[in-house]
Amino acid sequence: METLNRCKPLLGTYVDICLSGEMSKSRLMDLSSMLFSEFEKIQTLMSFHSPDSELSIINRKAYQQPCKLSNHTYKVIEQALQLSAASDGLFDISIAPKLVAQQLLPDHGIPSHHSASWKDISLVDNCIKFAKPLLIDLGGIAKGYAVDQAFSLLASEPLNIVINAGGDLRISHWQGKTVSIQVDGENGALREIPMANSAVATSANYYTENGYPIICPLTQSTVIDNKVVSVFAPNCMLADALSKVVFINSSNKQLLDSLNAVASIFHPHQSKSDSPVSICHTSL
Amino acid sequence: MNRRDFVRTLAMSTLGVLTTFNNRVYAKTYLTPDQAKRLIWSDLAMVQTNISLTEQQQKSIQRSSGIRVWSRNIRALKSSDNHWLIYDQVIGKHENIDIAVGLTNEGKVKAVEVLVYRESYGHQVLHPKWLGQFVKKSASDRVKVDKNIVNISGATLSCVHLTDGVNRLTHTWNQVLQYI
Repeated sequence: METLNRCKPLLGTYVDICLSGEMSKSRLMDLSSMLFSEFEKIQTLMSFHSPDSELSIINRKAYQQPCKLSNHTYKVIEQALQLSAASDGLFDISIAPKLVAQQLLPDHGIPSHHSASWKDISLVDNCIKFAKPLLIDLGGIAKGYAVDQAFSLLASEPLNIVINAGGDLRISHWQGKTVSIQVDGENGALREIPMANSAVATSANYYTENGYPIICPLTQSTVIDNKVVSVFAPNCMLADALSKVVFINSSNKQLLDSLNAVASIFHPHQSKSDSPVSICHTSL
Repeated sequence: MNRRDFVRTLAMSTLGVLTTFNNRVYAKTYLTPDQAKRLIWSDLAMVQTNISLTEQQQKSIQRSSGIRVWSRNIRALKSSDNHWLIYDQVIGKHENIDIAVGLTNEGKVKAVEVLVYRESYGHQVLHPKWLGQFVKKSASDRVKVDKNIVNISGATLSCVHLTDGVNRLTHTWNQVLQYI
């Protein structure tokens, strides 16, 4: 049994790929390179930062005319819109102008309408069209999608696969495995819990100085809360998106049940940095 | 070592020890330098070509890249057709991360591989016996590896420092390496 573990900076974070199987190290190297290439492809398509990405092109043009989408971007936006509908707008990829206003995303000088939302995005015949000027950001879902895509490329390989894209984690043989949830950003405290499904993603406010704050699309305001939310789901894209939904509204049990997902919510003490972390571990 | 370098080394060592006293450091080794070399440049023949930047070069790279150049010493390999492989360190959230960066003979980034990822994770320990294990250990020994920690999920950690580090190296190529 050979094991290979590699890590590269992609999609704005550290992407860690671990492959184990009855094959040569060089074969594992080749397979891992193929997966990293897939991550690079998704990064090139869906980067908000790059003015030349497919995402930036549709942000510029999809209000004036329908824009044809690659299969990858189509699938991600299609799933995002389904989640927006299922969560009554708590997940919304059109929140980008708020992030631009807070200088958390670059300003490409593209106008947007203050009342635009996911409802103004339509997908028809592999094309996307905006009913109002708006900006899409796929930061809340693309990492999870990339992890799932990498898994699908290895579906026929007899491998144990673990991919962790900056906390968006998926494990092929997850039964009986544990995951350490980072429940505090400052002292980095970890809490080990059993994996409840193949994928897990975590949302918290603790890296907001250089990362993404969580903004409620309905109120357009940042959700300030010291809780940490981890969502377990059958795939990483769902876990990624649902962790934001549950962070904003943790009483969404019906939605989680319908998607075969569960959430764990952690409430760390803030009074003393050296005190043990108190956990309210709630499976919704 | 001049006085400024001595003071800087002393300050960083002190900072490192203090960090260790407050945290458990998790280190994960991904690739050896040789494995990274083979991944990035295959069997291309390369020779060790370490560089010591002058103080003027250091300042100039800092100015053009807008990124602090902590070390003037560059550990690198170079091919006869002027491709480079640089072994460097960047800061993660709290700890140094070892990376390998391939730069082409046109100064473009060919690939980046993380060699060793280190991070601090909670569990502030104040017991004297625990602290004692770090006495007389060198800076490279101070990392305590918790082998049980394998899969960690948290809010997304930005890799902006790594991106800055790679940017610093492309400016280093532009100003120094391309003329070597």
